[in-house]
Amino acid sequence: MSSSKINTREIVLSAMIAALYVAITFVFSAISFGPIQFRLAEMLNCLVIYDKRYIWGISLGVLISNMQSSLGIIDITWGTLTTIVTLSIVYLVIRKFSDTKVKMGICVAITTVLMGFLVAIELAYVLKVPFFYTWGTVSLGELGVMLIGAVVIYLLGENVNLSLSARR
Amino acid sequence: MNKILFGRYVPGTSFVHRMDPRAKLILSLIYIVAVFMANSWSAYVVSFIIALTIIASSGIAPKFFWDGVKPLIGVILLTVVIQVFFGVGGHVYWHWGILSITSDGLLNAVYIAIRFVLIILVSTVLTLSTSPLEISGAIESLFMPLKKIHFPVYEMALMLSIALRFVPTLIDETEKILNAQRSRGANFSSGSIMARLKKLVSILIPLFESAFNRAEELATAMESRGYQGGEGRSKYRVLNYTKNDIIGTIFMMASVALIMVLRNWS
Repeated sequence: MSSSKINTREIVLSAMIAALYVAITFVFSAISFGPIQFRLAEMLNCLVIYDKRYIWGISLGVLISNMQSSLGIIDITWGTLTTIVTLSIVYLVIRKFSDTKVKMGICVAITTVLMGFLVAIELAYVLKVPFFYTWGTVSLGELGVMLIGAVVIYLLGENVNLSLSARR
Repeated sequence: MNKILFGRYVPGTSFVHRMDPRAKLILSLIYIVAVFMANSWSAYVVSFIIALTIIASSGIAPKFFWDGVKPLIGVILLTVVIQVFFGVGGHVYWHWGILSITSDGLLNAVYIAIRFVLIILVSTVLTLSTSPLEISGAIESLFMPLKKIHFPVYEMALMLSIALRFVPTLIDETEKILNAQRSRGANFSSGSIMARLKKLVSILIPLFESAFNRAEELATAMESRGYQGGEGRSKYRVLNYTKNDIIGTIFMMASVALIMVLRNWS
């Protein structure tokens, strides 16, 4: 994207995915915030198995959604970095596989463990809560939403062409 | 569309409102680091006075700050309980199995609760007094040095502003789709888990299609108007540091210095 030829379509698509992430976070906000992290929009993480370019949109969506968070600037920076790192690792691992269901399973596993780990570091440092206990609870919440996400995004992928290359 | 107060922004013309968003972002980060450094009662009292001063100069009603703390009270209480019962060191007041209440544990619990509330209050000042558009402008400006390592700063900034523009539109769209499905008899809160997930898909399919279509239309509109990338484009709102930012910076530096002195002195 840093080349002189700017792909307008890619930028706009990523922006729209970010807006979608924020919209889903807000419309279903009753379960998005609060002590136990259960943000329905997190299921969009599963989109990365269809196209790596979703990473941009989802990370920006996290950034905007976290402007609303009570931990403010800490959540904005750490939450966004967490998403970029986790999704990039998911992408690097899943590109070796071809079956969508296998990809989905790997995506759920990595996101659950790694996202929980990175968020637990943040909470353990800021709140001085016991690290492994926090890792467990955060990962459990993430596992729940990612399992839902895997099923929902898989069914969505059966109906909508989620590959961004087809849209260019 | 106006039902949801996006980003919690409260418009105003106070001292804090008129500060440059970049200065606000950096100064609130510095404050958070300083609060982490505080390790004595006197330092916490000073941090608290600083937070109150910032809140007062933002001219925003205390109710909004309470709204920021409220969702996290559960977490704060949980942390306090864990600290109280699992803390070690100092005088032991009560002891049962692995649980014990000690003087150091109690002190730590209070410190952590205060620190947490202070961080929330100051972060809340930032999000209450700065619109999401201003925050993204600040992020763009602060990321500019990354241009040197070929990080696509302009593209990211454009994505941010398009995303912010379309959030209310897509929130509207989501609610419309929800209502459309309801009016056709869909019930989203009944049935087995699998049945509910399938209903969720019935919302996401039209939502994704419409978002993709909007992106398509917008990209075509931009290209037909000759969008060539962000390099050299001018801005409608130009960020400028003003007198307020200098005063704010001096105030914060003095405060941090005081916290550091108290940290080493006591």
